[in-house]
Amino acid sequence: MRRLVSTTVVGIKTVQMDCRPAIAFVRTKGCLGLIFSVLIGQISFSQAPRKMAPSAAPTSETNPVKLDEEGQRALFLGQYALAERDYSRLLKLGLRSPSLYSNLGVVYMRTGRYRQAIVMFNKARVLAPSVAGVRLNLGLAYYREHEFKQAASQFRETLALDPNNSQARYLKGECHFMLDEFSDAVATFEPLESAEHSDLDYLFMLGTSYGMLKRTDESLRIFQRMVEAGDDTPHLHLLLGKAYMALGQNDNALEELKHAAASENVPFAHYYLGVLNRQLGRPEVASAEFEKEIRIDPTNAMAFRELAEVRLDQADPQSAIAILEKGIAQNRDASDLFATLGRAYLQVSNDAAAIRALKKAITLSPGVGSYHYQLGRAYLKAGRLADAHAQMERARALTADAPRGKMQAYSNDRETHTVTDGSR
Amino acid sequence: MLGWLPVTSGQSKSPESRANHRSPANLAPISLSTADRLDDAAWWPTKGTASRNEYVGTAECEKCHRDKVDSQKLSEMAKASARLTDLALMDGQSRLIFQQGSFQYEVARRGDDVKESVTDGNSLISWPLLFAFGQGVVGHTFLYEKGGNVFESHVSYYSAIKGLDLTTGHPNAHFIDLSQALGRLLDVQEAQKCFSCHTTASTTSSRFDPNQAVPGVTCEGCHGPGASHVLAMEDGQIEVGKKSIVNPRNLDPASSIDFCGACHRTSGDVIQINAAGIVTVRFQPFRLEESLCWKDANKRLTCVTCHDPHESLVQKMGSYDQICLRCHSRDSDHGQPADQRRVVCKVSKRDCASCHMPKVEIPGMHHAFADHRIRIARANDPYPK
Repeated sequence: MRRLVSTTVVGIKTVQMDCRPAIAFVRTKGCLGLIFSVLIGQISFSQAPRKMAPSAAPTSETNPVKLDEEGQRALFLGQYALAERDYSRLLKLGLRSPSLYSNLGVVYMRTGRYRQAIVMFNKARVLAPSVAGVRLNLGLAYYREHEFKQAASQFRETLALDPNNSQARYLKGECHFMLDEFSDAVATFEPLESAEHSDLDYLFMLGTSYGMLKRTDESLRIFQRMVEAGDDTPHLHLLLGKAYMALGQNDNALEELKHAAASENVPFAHYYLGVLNRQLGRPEVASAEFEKEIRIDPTNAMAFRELAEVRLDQADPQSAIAILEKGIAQNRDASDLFATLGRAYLQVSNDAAAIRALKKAITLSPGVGSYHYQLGRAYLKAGRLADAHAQMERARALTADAPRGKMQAYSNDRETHTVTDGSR
Repeated sequence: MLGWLPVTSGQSKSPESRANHRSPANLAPISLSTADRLDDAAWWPTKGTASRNEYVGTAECEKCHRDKVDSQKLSEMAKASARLTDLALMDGQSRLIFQQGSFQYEVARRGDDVKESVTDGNSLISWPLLFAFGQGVVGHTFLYEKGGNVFESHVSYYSAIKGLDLTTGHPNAHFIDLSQALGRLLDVQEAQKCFSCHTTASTTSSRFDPNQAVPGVTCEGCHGPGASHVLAMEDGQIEVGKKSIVNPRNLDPASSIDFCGACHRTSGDVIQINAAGIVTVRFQPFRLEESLCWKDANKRLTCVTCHDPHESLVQKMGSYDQICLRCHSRDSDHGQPADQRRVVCKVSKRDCASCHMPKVEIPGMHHAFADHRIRIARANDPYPK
């Protein structure tokens, strides 16, 4: 995610060994959620232990203080497996504290396991409801899982606790943008305008939101600002291309995206050119653009998926399957690829393979209604009517709870670094 | 003239699915997306695989089904679109003006032509309009052709304000030149979908050709191409004839709702497009399936329980009361177990829909739609998911 790679994330650090430690928020360059001291003196340990450490002299594996120190060190050094091991041992020893849960959540975030991170940050939130940093990290984990509604809620709580938290404000605005909640996006973004007046991503979202709200003059002003700040870079043209696509101005979009793609190896320029050409009914041009995108970045799961979709449109599910399997080999965590693979298998009446692929997609992203719908359809084709009904009901519930905004289609390039939080 | 445009999306997509066509009567009793229905069924509304010579036109249907055809011609579905030359446009007004930012729009009839013009004060561009989609209660949206592509005008006519406003869903973006200010280019798939629901036979042999489109939803828009049916009937092969035309009456309830949902959006469609919030009030089949009347184990209430697609929409709320009271009255004991008997309204036995199907206005549409999620609605309740 471009923004998080290069910008500041608020972390939390205990600065006092006390029963109710003062918690300081520190702004750290490129590091998500600085580390709690897990052991808050002996107090924390005695507050909520489920079982106490053995009475015998503790070894390094059973010594909470040592485990905490080693866990912190490992986390600082980016040795996440070691950090996870130490924090997991602390959990096994019966320690329960917001800091422990939070640090383990950070480990999960940094290793791309966002669902597990959500579980940990939620446990931390329950124990420390007024700690803004926990809310922020929880929001980030939801954000990573594309659960923008829940993420926005956590960023809102962060701002209630820490009104000047610009990171939470920025991300909250971004969540509203992703949900097509343009009024909320504008209201959230506007106070950041002087601070972010050179941030092209910010200007793209604000200008597009104004445009979607029919606030023409403000939209024009912000896009003009983008041009001034963008310095004729490929990134500027990519953003302008996406903005025009979002606003339905396809000719302008095509021009800007071609401009972006003229520079070598610009990630996502060919991808969006492919998407636009597919929309314009030019599947062969679209295919060529997606193939170029894949050559530039073989880990671009969206390009594989779109290329496969073109093949499905062309009634060629076997080619789609081959493309998707190649894409999955490069992107084993890309739920969309598994979901599309499931649909492709359905088209060749391989129900069993479709069910397997769709189950995998749901395991990776359990909150996506359309995956459950497709699994329901696969069960239906396999004659499992009750299972089909259950999946359809789940799909409906998820869709009502977590609609996907149209603007997410113009934000795929913001997902480049999905494996980690970008802090490495 | 518009060119022939290849269409692939939404059609039968694989040799296997083509070989496994099933008649609608054999479809699964579960709500699916329209794309999936199109894959599964030999005929489904909006399907574009049949050839043009499989269509016979309404005049042929009229020979045997005169009453139905006569009343259907007056229905809203028959008026789902019109060529501008055929239309008593804009409630009979011949010229309308609309100002949007620095652009002024005009839609005006001159003889048989209706043109849309837009000016920024310095220059003016004018273009003939081709179709108006929707003629009835809400208003109409104009479409035009340019360079072989279909465009949707940035302005639509709204009956409630008897004037123009921005077309629903169109952003008020800044436009660099006048041609952009005129309308929005529809991509091929989008245009094909619009025409599939607002016209008949716009896509045949999987090729989209709006010039050949028959305005409005005609008999064959729902029942499918009729040539085989007519031929068999004329030959006296009655059973063959019956089987060669689709009679949606034979559908199970879920498929029946999905049948209408091919244009009005099924639950599966809503999931696939990931829609939520008040925009879904326009998707009546989806909303109906969210009702308790539908969720109940005894799923009987479908679109055609209340609406006859061969007739104009009945606007008077009280006209639907008897349908509600079939179940929700003390006299409605159909022998069900006590736990399945329906609640009887303590407030009234009249105008049920006015309370239980509250109207919801979508911003910018100048029209309130009856929410088909039938429920006990209380004042200030949020729009239910």
